[in-house]
Amino acid sequence: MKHQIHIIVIAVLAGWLASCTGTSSSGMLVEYRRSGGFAGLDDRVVIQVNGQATLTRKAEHYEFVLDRDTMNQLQALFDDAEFSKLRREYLPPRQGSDLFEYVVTYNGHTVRTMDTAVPEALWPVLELLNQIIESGGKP
Amino acid sequence: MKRRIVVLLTVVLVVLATFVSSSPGFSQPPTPPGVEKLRQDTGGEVDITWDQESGNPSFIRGHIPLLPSDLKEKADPAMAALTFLGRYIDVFELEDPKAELEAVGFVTDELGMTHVTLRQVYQGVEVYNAVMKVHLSADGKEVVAISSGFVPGIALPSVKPQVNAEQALTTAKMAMPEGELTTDPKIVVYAGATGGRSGALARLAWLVELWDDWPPVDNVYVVDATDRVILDVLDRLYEGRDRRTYTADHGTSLPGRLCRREGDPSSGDQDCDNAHDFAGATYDYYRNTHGRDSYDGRGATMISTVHYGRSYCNAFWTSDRGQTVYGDGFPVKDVVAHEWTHAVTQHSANLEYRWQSGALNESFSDIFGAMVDRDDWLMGEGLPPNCLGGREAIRDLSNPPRFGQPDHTSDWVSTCSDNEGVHTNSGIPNKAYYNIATAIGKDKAERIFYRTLVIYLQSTSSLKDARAAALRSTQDLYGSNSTEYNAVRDGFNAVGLDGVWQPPPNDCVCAARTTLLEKAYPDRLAALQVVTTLSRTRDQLLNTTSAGQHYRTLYYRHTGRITYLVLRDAELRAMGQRILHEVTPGLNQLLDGKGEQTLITHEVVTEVTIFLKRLAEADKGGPLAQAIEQEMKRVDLQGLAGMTFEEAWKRINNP
Repeated sequence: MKHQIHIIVIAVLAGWLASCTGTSSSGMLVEYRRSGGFAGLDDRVVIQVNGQATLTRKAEHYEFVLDRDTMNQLQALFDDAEFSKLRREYLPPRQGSDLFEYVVTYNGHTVRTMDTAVPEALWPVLELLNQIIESGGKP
Repeated sequence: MKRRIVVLLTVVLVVLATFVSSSPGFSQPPTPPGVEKLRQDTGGEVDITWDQESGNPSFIRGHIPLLPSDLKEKADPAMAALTFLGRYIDVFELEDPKAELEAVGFVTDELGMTHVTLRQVYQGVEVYNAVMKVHLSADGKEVVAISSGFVPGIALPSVKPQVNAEQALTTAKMAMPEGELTTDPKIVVYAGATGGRSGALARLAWLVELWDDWPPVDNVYVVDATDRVILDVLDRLYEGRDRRTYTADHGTSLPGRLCRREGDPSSGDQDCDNAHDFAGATYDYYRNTHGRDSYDGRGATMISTVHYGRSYCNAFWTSDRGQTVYGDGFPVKDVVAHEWTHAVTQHSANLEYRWQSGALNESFSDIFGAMVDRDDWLMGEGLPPNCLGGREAIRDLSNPPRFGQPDHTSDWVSTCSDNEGVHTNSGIPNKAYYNIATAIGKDKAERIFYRTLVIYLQSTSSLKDARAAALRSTQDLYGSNSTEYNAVRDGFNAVGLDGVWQPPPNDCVCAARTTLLEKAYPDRLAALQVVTTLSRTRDQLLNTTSAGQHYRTLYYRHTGRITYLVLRDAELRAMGQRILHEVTPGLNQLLDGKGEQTLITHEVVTEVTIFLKRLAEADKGGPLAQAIEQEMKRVDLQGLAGMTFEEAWKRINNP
């Protein structure tokens, strides 16, 4: 029992990260979060390997399944972007106002970026993920 | 050498002309003979503003009847205006209005009034920037005002240029070798710049406009069409309102391809034209209402880019590029004014874009967005339907809860997202402004809030500061015993900003990551390694056992308070960083299955103990302090010293 206090500290320290980055799951392929912008969005979509997707838009919650073509397209775009080779962060030197912040996790690798600093190769990925959010899974 | 002498002579002449025209003897201009007729026609009810340079009227206000002969031309307002002016040629020293003025166009406003714009020409050649506007009443029976920039007394020997366009370009390029020609050189009659115009000094000239794309430089060279002398250089960038609008063509490179510059006609691209026109409307608002010359107060060029990205439902102001950017359909009036107000804020109070100051930053953008687009209290009502998601607008200053914003401090929203809720809690000051504006009128309210923003607020101002600053501004403008002062006080009080209220602690754990780890940590690379280790700890250790889950849950319960206390105490923050740094190697080895290789030292245990006690003290008996006290009673922290990470982890899972 006396070891628990040390774990408290570890838990406290580790927890600092928890809410920022969410939790990982063995079946999860993609986690995408888009926040800010003129409308102050807070959109989060989690896509499982089997295409099951969970979309959260502030208080709204949707579940849907992405078709095979979309999943293939998504994975191809991640491959084209050489996502695993991207840095963890691409941020503008000075932020500005109403910019979107994007946090994308794919196969365990997370990239955080913002408008005006998004790597060119990542844009097609973001555009497809944005379409998935806007359509709420509807074709 | 000869050219230099000529330039010098021209300068001397212009200086002399300016001197003469501004000499004391000119302060009482002689009344043109036609003015008496004008007075008779209006029964003496006419107000005339005189142009000091020309001695002619520059603005006439009254009720000047149109005669049946004028009204015959009613179907064509421009012809009616020209016929009307024909009866008052002596007032403006016109000779033949239909030969000296040509119609540019007319607009009919929302009150039904028609405003005709006429351009001066001399023997068929345009006189640079010489415009008359005739303003007709809604019933079309009278002229209610005339704005005149007519230049009388032009007498040129010929309007045939002796210097051709190519030679004029060569001359201009000598002054700006790197400049690119924007449009073909244009022949005009140049009578001098504003403040020194004279028909007697008018010359036939080429206007040669050269520009550099980035950083933007735009000069118009006025080249004498008789002897290749540069008569004047007009700096378009700082000639009052100056806009450059680009299109990204659905890419993301900024600024993109130029689609419209200041003075250009409509481009035909609706987004380009809207961004351009509404940037102009925003410029005019700040200039006319608050006397501010562009967003920086110094005439900065307003650069916009439209058609940014694909499926991009957003608009933003980027400090890096110093420009606004719009996705398809986003350049609507209030959004454009909102974005440019971010630029105004950056160049005045420079409110930090997070937490309370960020909410104020957003609120001022909404407030002045609503003042530019004045007919309602909605923000973004004209956005494309696919970007509104079935809603009528994005925000409503008169009723913030309608679109999910709080309108009272009791509903303050704590969130990590969106720079800690800048677009959410802005609803509170938005509603305060609405309360005030509806009590004393928009004209007074906007004056008070502009003064608040540019005079009294600073980067980290809170909502409470904004209340105090607005009251100070009101006191400056209207006195402290005024109706206005009471309205401002009551407007803030009604949303819970009573001068005492403070928001709850910011329980945003992202602040810990961004501020503690990324900003305050001395070594950025080491900070990232710590982040990685903690993520792995969370996923591989804490999430996989019941004991780990227990402590993670405990953490979530108190995370806000921990973050709040740590971020506000430099010593606690430093201790936290030190502990993170010291335990990271051991945690990594534990995660890699080598936890038996690293010992937990006495120093670390001591530091952790002090850290937790300090944290509890800082919480002053709050729930976090109680939780720490309970755990400290249950375990002997010092007993951990000398154990390996592996031993500690096994122990926790098999107590």
